[in-house]
Amino acid sequence: MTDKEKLDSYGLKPLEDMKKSGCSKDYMIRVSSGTSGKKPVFMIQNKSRDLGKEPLFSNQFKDVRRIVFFGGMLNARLSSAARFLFYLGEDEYTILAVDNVDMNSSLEGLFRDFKPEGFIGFPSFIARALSFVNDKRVLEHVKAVRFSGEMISDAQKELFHDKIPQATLENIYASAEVGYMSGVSCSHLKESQYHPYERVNIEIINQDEDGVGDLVVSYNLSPSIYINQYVTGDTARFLKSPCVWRHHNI
Amino acid sequence: MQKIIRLQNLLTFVTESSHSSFYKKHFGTSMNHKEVRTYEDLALLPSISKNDLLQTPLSDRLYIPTGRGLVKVVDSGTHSFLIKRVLSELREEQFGNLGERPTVLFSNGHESLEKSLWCYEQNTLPMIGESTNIPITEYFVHRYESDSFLGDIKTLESIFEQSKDAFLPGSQFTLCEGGFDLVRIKKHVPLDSTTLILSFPEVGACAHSCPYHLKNNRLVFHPDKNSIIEHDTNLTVTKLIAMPTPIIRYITDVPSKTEEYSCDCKEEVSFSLT
Ligand SMILES: [Zn+2]
Ligand SMILES: [Zn+2]
Repeated sequence: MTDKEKLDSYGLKPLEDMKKSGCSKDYMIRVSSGTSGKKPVFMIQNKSRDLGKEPLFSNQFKDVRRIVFFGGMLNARLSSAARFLFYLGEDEYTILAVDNVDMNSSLEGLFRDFKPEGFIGFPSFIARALSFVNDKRVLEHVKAVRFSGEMISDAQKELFHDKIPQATLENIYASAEVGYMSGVSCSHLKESQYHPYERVNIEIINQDEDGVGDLVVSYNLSPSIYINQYVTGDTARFLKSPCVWRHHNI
Repeated sequence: MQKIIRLQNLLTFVTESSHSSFYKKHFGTSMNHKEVRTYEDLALLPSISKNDLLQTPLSDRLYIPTGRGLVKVVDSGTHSFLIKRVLSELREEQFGNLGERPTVLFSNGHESLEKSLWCYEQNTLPMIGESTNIPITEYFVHRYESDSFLGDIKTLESIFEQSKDAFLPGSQFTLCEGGFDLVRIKKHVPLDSTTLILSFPEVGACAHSCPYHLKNNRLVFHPDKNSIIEHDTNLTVTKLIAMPTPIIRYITDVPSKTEEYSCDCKEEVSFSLT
């Protein structure tokens, strides 16, 4: 088993590799802010695990070129920016990373100017941003919204259907310290259901009679470092339907 | 290529562009851009100000609509406007000398993101800090064994208030701002490991501190290789790189004056802020 502290200690081994190789562009930084008295996590990881060519987006994102990132730590926004600008082939993405200080009434004018086509971020942050936009025409180019980090509430869902009715909403299961744990959202899955990401191994331990238990993941942090059974702190159960896996966020 | 030739190319580019007529309208009939043969001629063109950027939507001053990049929000206090940077020109910026493991930490998140992308373009992995959470950022600086800093004086101060030895001994410090206070800087970092980059969010970098004068406590700047600077007035910047939103005779609110001091840099032009 790997807990947060142990994960954090593994995360410095790739730093030594990086220093030796002198080739920092093969690496990425992963951090989490360490909530509720827990220590933050700082890790260097070989970028190959998470920054492949596969975009992990549904088809709805295929034509999206102007993307707004919302909230989260700057490191998360930078990693997302790097993914689009450096690793997703030749497409001409333009990104706008909305910061906390931009969350005011000038947002409507900025969106009118930027003409966003896709949104990525925490549902609560996107919902707060949309509350500053009264003229829905500003959002008419938004084709798709990708959430992660939290579950979307009914009130937020309603707001999105009102402000961006034309956009498809999709969800991914990821965390700041691990990264992607689910793959592309697919149409026959409900909101809290995911397909596992192929580059992590997912197990559910301490299952109760309904199969609900603690979600642990195992994966390669770098070619030489294997993270064994990291305890995510979430509970989940497997589904037997065509879509195999179910996750409850707690 | 000589700066004056790059300038002529830039003027031709903006006046003949089919994407935007921002400068053409602005220059009006004041003079034919082909007549600009010297820096003195340049000074005859009308300048632009922050107000012009505020009042013109990005889409109306975008000369290069394609290319992968970042749109950032520039805050002018009461209103904000957008500036676009694309990687192909951002990489040409002169934001100072990076170490191997830089910390990028600006008070404004858009600035941190832009400079971090610039670090990627220099094949360096930046650690982007959170100016709203200095304790955590200091922890990350330490964990990353960071050997250099790219940011502003406010964030530099806050890191040093948190810990005196967050950075490895011998680290390099680069401050990117529109003005500097040497007394404030010296409190935290030795001047001989410090580079001051005169820069503005809407312009990027335009000049760097003269290391010779800085060691002697004097704030003297040389224009960087991508900039033409008019001094002896409010600092006015022309950027020679192919920015999507070109900067030609952008007048700042920073007063400056020509310096006659000599130095060993072999730079033709020196100026100071007044
Ligand atoms: Zn499916
Ligand atoms: Zn000099």
